[in-house]
Amino acid sequence: MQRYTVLIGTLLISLAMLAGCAKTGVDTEGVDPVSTDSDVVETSSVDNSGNVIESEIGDAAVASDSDENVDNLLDQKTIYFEFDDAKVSEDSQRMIRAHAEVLSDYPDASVAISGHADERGTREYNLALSGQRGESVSAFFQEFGIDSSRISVASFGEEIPAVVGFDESAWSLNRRVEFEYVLPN
Amino acid sequence: MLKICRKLLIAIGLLAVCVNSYALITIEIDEGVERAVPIAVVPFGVDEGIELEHIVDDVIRNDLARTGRFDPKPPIEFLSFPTTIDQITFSDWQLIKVDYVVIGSVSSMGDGSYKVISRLFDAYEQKQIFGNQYMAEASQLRSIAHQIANNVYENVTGSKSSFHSKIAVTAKAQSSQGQPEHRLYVADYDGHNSQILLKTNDPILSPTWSPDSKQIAYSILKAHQTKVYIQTVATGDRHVVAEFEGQNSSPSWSPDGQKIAFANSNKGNSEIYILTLEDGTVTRITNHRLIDTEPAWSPDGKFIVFTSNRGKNAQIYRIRARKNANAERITLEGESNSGARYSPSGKQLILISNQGNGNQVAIYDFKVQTIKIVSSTTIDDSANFSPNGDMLIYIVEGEDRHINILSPDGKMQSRIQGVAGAVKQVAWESKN
Repeated sequence: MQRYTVLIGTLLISLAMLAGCAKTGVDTEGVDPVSTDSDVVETSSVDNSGNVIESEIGDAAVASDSDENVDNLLDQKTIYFEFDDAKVSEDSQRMIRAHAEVLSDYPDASVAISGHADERGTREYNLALSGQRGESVSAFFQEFGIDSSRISVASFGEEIPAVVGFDESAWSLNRRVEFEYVLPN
Repeated sequence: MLKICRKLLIAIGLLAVCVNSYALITIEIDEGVERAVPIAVVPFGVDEGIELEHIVDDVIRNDLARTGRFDPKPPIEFLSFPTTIDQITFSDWQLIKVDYVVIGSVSSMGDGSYKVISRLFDAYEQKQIFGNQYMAEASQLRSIAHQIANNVYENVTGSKSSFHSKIAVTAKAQSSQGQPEHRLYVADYDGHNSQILLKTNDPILSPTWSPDSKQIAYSILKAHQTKVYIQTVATGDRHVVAEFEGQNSSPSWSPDGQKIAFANSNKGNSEIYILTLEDGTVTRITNHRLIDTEPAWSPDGKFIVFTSNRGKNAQIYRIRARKNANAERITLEGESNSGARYSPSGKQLILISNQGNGNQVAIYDFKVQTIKIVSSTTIDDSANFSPNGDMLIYIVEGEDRHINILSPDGKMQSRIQGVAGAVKQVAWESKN
């Protein structure tokens, strides 16, 4: 249990950042979940865990990487994409690498990836595109040493926007792949 | 002969010459350039106390106008308002230059049923083309009105209308407990008489009708295994037909009703397969490391068009509906093209095209190999032809999601009401 506190801490920081985002005038109402088939860690169960030591993240991460601000990289768990594109930017690749290194230290943990698209284009194409984005991110986790058996990829198309909005500022936030660490039961 | 003469000359804008000279010229007129036929649909006579007002003549006028093949004149221009055959004065209609006049009446029979009488006249030949009488319940009046509109359409154009056809619509609404709820509706083509076929917590994607209109296939989105279902409209019974590993989506029924083409996305690579319904055998059609999805059959069942981003952006490709065939790129213009479906004739595709102004409904013509944008909206999705090809239907996305019907030249656009919730996709039945 103790060994996962780092992960939980990371998750909490991510959640805090998300909450911060939501206050910037973005309307998240009307966004509803789609059933998932895997046991992704629920926000509530993380909150209930209690024993989080935030300082440990920095220690672990700095020890394992070069000049990058790994703290910052580990705070991020969303990869954004260009329109009609599944290419992972170099910045996002560095972020995935930082997470992959943390995951390498926790062989029992896996990663649950979900791909999304903005609402433009047909729903069917967007479903396929979100899957392609998810796989692009999965491929980088694998390149950075995470076995494919530890990765699950879900695709949601345009069905679960991160923000509700009808211009590029919203669309750019909806073209994304999110991932979460999944802890063993 | 006079009638043929007049029609031809109207089409080239020489009405006056024709009426005076009776000149006979044979000109082959392409369907696409035919002028909308001017017609007057006179407000139906309604017994006092009936609250139905102008339901019947409004429906007829809207039906005819939506195709772009008729130009129903606004009643404010009329010089008289006949409701029975003895009240009609043909010169009143010749003066305002309408070719045809529809009149009729709705009277209560006192037992909750109504008698509807309708007549179509040729204003220049000064004769009745048809007269019909219907007995109906109040709830059937819209259907009767569609039937009258169809009779007019058929007598004037020589072909059957799509005014009696149905659409399937998916929408996100709220349950009675205030929870988000995804719904599949079946409704008249104009959005009226909508009925819920399915309610579920998860998004319903890609509704598609069987060729006999008895069943609807769709997929239900789940994170890791989206499945394809077939539901029987009359009974509501449904069963899974595709639950292969990964996402099974985008079903499309073959014209003979025996197969379903669908996309399966396993390990992020969406490919197109054909499922034979009788024995459950599956044939892989496409094989490419990039996206192949949104299959749609040609009316002769030989080809499948689909969307792929193998050429960087989404474009439309065509492939023979069998194993190991080569895909051929169809659309060459535009930043992206997707969501293609064949016209009933097989000569055109309707698709969603981005030519730099957003996603718009467009028509691709196989003969001239060009794409013509037909919608004026720019966040369009889910475009279909009507069963006879003379109307288009699509979804406008964005803040105010709604369904639009367009004439194929894009000139007539009307918004469809009647389906509750944020509409997501629409599918027009193919049977006429």
